[in-house]
Amino acid sequence: MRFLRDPEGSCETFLSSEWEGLLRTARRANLLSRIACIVHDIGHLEQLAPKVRDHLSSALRVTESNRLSVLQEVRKVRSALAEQRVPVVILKGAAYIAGELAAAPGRLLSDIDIMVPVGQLQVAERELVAHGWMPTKFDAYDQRYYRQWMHELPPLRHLERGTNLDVHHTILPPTAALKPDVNKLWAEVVALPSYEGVFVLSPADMILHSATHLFHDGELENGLRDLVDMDALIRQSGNDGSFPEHLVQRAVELDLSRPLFYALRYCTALLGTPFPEQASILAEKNGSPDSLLVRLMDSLIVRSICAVFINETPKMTHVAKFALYVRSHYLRMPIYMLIPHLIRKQFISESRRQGTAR
Amino acid sequence: MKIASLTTSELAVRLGGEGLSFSIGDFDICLKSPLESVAKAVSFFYGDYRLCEAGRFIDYRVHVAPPSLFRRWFRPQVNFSFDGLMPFKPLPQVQAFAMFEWGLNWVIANNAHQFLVIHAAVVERHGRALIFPGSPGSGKSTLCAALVNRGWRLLSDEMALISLANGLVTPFPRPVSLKNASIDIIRMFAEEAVIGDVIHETVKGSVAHMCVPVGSIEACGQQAIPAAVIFPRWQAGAASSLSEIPKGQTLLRVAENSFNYNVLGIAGFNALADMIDRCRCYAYSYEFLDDAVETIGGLVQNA
Repeated sequence: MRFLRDPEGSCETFLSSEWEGLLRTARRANLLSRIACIVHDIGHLEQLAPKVRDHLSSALRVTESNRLSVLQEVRKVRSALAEQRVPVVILKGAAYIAGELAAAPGRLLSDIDIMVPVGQLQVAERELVAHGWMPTKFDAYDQRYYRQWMHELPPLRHLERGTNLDVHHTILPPTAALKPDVNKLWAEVVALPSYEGVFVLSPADMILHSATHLFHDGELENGLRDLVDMDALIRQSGNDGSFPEHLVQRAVELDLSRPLFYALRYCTALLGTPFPEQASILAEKNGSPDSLLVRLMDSLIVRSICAVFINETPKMTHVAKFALYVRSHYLRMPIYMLIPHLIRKQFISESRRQGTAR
Repeated sequence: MKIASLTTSELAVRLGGEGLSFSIGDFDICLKSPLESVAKAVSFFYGDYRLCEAGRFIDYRVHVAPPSLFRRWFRPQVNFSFDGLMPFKPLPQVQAFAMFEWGLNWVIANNAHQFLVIHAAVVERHGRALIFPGSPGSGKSTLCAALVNRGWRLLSDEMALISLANGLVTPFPRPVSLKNASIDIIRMFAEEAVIGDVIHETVKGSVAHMCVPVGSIEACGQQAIPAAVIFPRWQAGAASSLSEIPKGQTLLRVAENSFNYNVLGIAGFNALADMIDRCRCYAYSYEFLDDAVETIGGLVQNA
């Protein structure tokens, strides 16, 4: 965390044990490549101890191969959908990379996420299957679950390249409490100059999508990584000028003020993301739940996001202080909230284990 | 200081507590495991490896432990984890030490991209390394074990680490994994070979590990020049026959046997092309290990 807030200072002062801690935490958080890119970009790689350099240069190689493979996949998806003229929006990590955004360097991903108009979903699926992306879930329950309740098709996997593709038609399941209007997202998509017919979400929508995914879609295992993404996106769009207000306004339009409030809260608290006070106050006014729930969320979110630090030394004072602060509230958490949470956590760790097993 | 200098209880305390840190070639590894079987195997196979001094930068910290309390008693299982990643499904607990070996292979193949990592056995004599890329069943480990018992230095029975910085093979000597019939073949071939308990019913069949000779462990800081790439093929009834094969074909076959060729991109291609340029390339089929040791010994004398 100290590294993310001040990479240059950290590069100069870190001891070998601190580097080891950083590399391990980064690996757990899926941020090792990101950190390698930061060190490389500020020109500190050559000055590090050979061992540390080896780890970081390895991570840089992974980054580059991941980047090339993502770009290749985007081209393949484009050409698969070009004939039927299905417009496609690239989402999340692949969008950062294809759009060459500030969140791209060192961003690794295992699935490409795309969105197509709901009316052309079937055509898109047919074309993708014809081009070698095969459904991975064959059982009827899974198929039905995805098609009836989810905002995406059952995940596809390419027969030859083994790459995964998630095809969405909106950004939240229709059952979710928040109902962002997908047409409003489409209205502001940005074309990628080098890929005809391929778009990414507007800068504000990209941040809102990431926030929604993190805080409302139960995808907490890469929580810190997602905060780092949003931090980069917010910094890139400028924390002065009209962007912050636009972002807050856009969240209202899309019914996503709640996730934006959380995103800003944890980005600024943990990563020191700059965001003007007035816009923050507005975001809080629009999106904050009552204060008891905020405290509950603080404890849960910070705990899950900072689970990657489990083996850390007391040097992570920012986190430790914040965690201690929220811990006092955590202890007051009513049991009826705690139990579902624990069951859920159990479930997540199980499914994650299955996800990584071969 | 070597691992063997620790008493049984000191070893168990380290493994069960902060972890046991030791060096294998260029890498400093820390292993944590509460399991007695792992402690026993580590003391049996890794006794001659150097301990790392306290506070040293550790490259990879791995953990071999039962998944849950419940699984300690009911059909005991074991998990391998590395910085929060669990690349494998749990295995029966009797396979815990083998899981450490496989897990460590996985860690290197997926993280040590300062090397081109080739799935191959590597042995050395007179500073020249012979590389035996192997699809499973080709008999590379058996051949490697035979050569090591006839005075060759073991660099690795599983992965050739080709340094991207200088093109040399970096040693990563670890217990040689013998499968099924190979176990008895090596026992008969070399009485002095120290082979551990046989673990049955693994995904690879029955597996036993052979200790690395002390000389290979002590020389694990010395890189070697790649001299030959040999594709071994054990065949019942085959005469010992060594034939040179084209370099282009060798390059493609080795690339297929590489764990991280795709990750390295251009750098991987260049490293591989340079290596193949330096090497004589052969296909070798044989039935008897004695023939093999003689034929392959002749290669280095002629080189």
